[in-house]
Amino acid sequence: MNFLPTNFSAVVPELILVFALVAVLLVGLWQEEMKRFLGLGIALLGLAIAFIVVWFQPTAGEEFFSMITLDRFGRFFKIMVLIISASTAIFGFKSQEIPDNRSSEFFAILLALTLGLLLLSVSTNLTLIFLSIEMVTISSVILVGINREKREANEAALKFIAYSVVVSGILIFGFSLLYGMTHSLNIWKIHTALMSGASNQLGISAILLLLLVGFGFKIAMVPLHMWAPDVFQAAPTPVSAFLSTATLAAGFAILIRILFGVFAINQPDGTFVPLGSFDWSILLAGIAALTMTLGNLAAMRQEDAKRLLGYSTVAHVGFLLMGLVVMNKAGLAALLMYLVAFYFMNYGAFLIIGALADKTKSTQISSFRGLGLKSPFICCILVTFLFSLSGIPPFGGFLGKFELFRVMLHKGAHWLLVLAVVNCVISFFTTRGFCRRCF
Amino acid sequence: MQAQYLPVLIALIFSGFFVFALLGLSHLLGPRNDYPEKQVPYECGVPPEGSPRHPFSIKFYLIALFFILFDIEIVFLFPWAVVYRKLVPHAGLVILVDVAIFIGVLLVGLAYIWRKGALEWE
Repeated sequence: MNFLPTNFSAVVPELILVFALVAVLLVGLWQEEMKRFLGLGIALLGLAIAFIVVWFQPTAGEEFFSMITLDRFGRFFKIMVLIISASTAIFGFKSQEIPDNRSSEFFAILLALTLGLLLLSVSTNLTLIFLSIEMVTISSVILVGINREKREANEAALKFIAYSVVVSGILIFGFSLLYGMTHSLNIWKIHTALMSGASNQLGISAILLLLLVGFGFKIAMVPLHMWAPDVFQAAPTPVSAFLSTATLAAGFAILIRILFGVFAINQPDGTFVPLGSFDWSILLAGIAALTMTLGNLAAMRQEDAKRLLGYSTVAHVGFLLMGLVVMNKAGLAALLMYLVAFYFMNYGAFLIIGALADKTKSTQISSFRGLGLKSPFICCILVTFLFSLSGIPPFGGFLGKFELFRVMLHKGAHWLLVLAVVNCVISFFTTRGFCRRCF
Repeated sequence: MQAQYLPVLIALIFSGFFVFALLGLSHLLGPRNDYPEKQVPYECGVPPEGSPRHPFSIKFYLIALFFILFDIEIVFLFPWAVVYRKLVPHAGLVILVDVAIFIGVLLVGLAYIWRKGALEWE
């Protein structure tokens, strides 16, 4: 009998984060005055060490009783989440929206959230996936409501947890059906069992829909996007920034792993074919179209900067889903590239808005008026990020969208391409309105 | 397998019947003598004063939450305790360190709530 997973070095980054978390909590208990500074220091130290370990970790394959799989796909998302977490730690240190007396809790829960996202990027066992998603959910809700005195933050946290609980129930229902159908919890074994052909096609379609609901909630996909604007508006700006980039990235990681690892067959020429008789790429195309359109149209009428960014995040999820629709490796590569560009532009926009909100004590766009005269440098940076978000060359957003459009053109899904271009134009008008009101 | 539970069903029916019979007969056959002073809630013989409802202290919620967490910790320790003796020659140190880490994590939680003053009653 072996009582030890043969290779503890597979989870060293996660263990480092656990130690950092405990250290931040304990330091915050006994050190009231220097809590914020020490919490930031320990969190950054832990994240840096974890980053170095992840960078040099060998991609050994399945580890830990086959519960996690160390591959380059997971490593990409781990590095991204660690960098975003470090940015959020610094952002939260500087932001006035995180109260001083709860700053050590902020850093500790941020580290717990990062830990959950790291585990989500590499887990390939249904129970570990569910555990990571729950860890991410609970930590996100605590972070959203960390400013307990604000009524809107409490309301947003309550909405968030109510939605999350229902969606987690749907997800675990899908997992249990999947286990019942294939008698295995490991994703790769499930894939083998489903490919062997003797499965109920209706069952596979139902499970796919349930899992799509479960994972689509995290990435704010229509029709599960309703939490995003409310939560992004009312949460502290560092938390909104983290949720809109890191949680989105890890949500896409697990969605790609499940969709392309379990429900698709890997062809030798790099394309994927949906498993079973239900072609889910068409469903995803419809969802992508809806998400893009709804996000961009709703963003046009927003008065609150953070709510606008929330709807813009929903719209970008629509663009990102296009990378899944093309069903080949080039599409996935374009998606990952756009995710990185999306982190930079969305996080930058949130940073500027956070700094402005600290100065003007409000996140309404009307309170940003006169920015061009008072601090033109900040205004130029904000305009840069907004132009990047709406896809204007030569910024990163344009490059990411160009990649996605090129992949779509190859595939030949012309209606979706035309809709995406129309949505780009709509988002350009929104950006123009925003910038005009800032000057 | 179901036939073994037939005596249970009979006992259930009989006890239900017995209870209903006793209560029903005493209600139907007993004398009834109602006057307003009888309906007042009992308070040691004096007329009741004040409202029976008062604000519910939030501390009870916290205590219940802590109880759930640490009780579940204890529940997880029971199977460990059962198999520890048998497994000491095989991998005793490993299992001991394992459960020490488990208890350690929860100890950090206890230290946290202790220092934050959540265990103060008043």
